[in-house]
Amino acid sequence: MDFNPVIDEPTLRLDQVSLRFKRSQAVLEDISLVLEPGSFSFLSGASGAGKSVLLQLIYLTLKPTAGTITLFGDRVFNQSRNELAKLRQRIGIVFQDLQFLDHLTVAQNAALRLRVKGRKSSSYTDEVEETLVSVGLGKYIGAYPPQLSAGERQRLGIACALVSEPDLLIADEPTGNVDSNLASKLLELYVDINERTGTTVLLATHSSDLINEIDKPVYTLEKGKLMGEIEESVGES
Amino acid sequence: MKKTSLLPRNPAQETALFFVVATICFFATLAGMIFKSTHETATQWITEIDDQITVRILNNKPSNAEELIADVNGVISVQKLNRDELVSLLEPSLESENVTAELPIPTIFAVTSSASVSGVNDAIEQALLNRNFEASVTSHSARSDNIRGGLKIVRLTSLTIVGLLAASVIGIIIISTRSAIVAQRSVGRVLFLAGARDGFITRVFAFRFCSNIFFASLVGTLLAFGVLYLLVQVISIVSNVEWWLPILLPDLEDFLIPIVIPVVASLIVLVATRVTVLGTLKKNT
Repeated sequence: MDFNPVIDEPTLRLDQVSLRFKRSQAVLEDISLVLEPGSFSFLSGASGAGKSVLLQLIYLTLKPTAGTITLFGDRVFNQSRNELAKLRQRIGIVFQDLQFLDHLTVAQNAALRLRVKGRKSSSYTDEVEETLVSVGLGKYIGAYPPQLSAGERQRLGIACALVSEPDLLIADEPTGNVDSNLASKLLELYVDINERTGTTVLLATHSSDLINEIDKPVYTLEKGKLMGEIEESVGES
Repeated sequence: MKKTSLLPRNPAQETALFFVVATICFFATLAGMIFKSTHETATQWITEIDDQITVRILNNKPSNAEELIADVNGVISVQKLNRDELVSLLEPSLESENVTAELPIPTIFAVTSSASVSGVNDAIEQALLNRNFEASVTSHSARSDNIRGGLKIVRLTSLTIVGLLAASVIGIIIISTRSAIVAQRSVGRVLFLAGARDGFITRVFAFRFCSNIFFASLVGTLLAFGVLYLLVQVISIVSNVEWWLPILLPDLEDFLIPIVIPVVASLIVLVATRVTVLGTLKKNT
């Protein structure tokens, strides 16, 4: 799969974004962040630091109470739900606790993003199989999600997100349910996707071991505040 | 790649919903048809007896009363009842062994009057009195007024029953649809995260629920027609009240009911699904 996004603008730009739920303390405060096309970054922070909430803002399922979000050069501001859905189709998302439609096969689940776009099944069969093979699920095409292990489910989550060739891939604790060996393999897969397809990847994790495995920029969240980009290098703890 | 429905089948829930909707549609159709038949029967009866007058001559004079009555303005026909007809009228009250040849039989005329002329019974009474006939003139309109009063009660009761059943159908459809959607909200969540638009997610749910409710209500209404037909057949075999049975049988336009009810039920589901799915999506995303 060769995919080279032709975007001059940053894939994502957050300018002084804050989020506060009613009468509560700010969950996120003054977050500014730029992800360039084709970049790979980590979002780190302890549990409750606000990583998942920030990813939800980026996936446009939450609205910031202050600041602006610019995705693929478009400022997100008062768009209709349909326009937001269209923007969302350019973002792939992978969660720690993935949800699939258990009555559909692995291939049918992986094809969901193409199906909701209105494409005919005959037009995407090869694409879906190719994506599943690329994440190591080639032999599970006809299997059902409950038959998969935790690692395989994560791979299916990645395939589901990847099949529509998103410009941005965000992952929320994608290795939280797997052992360190499998976590490393999954990380390799994300790096491979980033290098092979040019997809911008933002991977949220609290695992410093995972972050230390590769030399990529790290954005750290602490109590809802972004502490800035930290260049981690292999071997550092 | 095989295109499977995005909504998983839930046989237990769907069968229960199918059964409930079919049953209520069955009763609603049956109640509606019985109401309609009762109403038509009573209306026809009123029309038949409204212009009927019975004239009884009390003093048995040699009779030219028939001509006198026929000459009254508004009288359409006069028929003197013969002894056999009178005996058949008296027998239910007196019992046949008491109706002997010696029994004095009154002179009775069955008069049909024009509905457009008023006061025909008074005019007949006056015409007979002028020729020294003592007569009792009874208009059946008094009885038809009683029937009309009874019909109003029947109409009100039937409409209340049909209305309550219709409200039950609507309520059950809305509640069942909503609970089924809530039970399957994870499907909506997965589709939402896959980038589906609200309209797409709504269509997935609406298609399933509309088709289920359409077939359930179709089965219910058709079953009601079948039962009605069987009822007529059974009554015609075991009883001699065939005169009203044809009215129970559905007219041609009644066969619109199995189309109208399922379409209306499906439209209700469509609205309920749309409101619930959009509400759930807006609340959770």
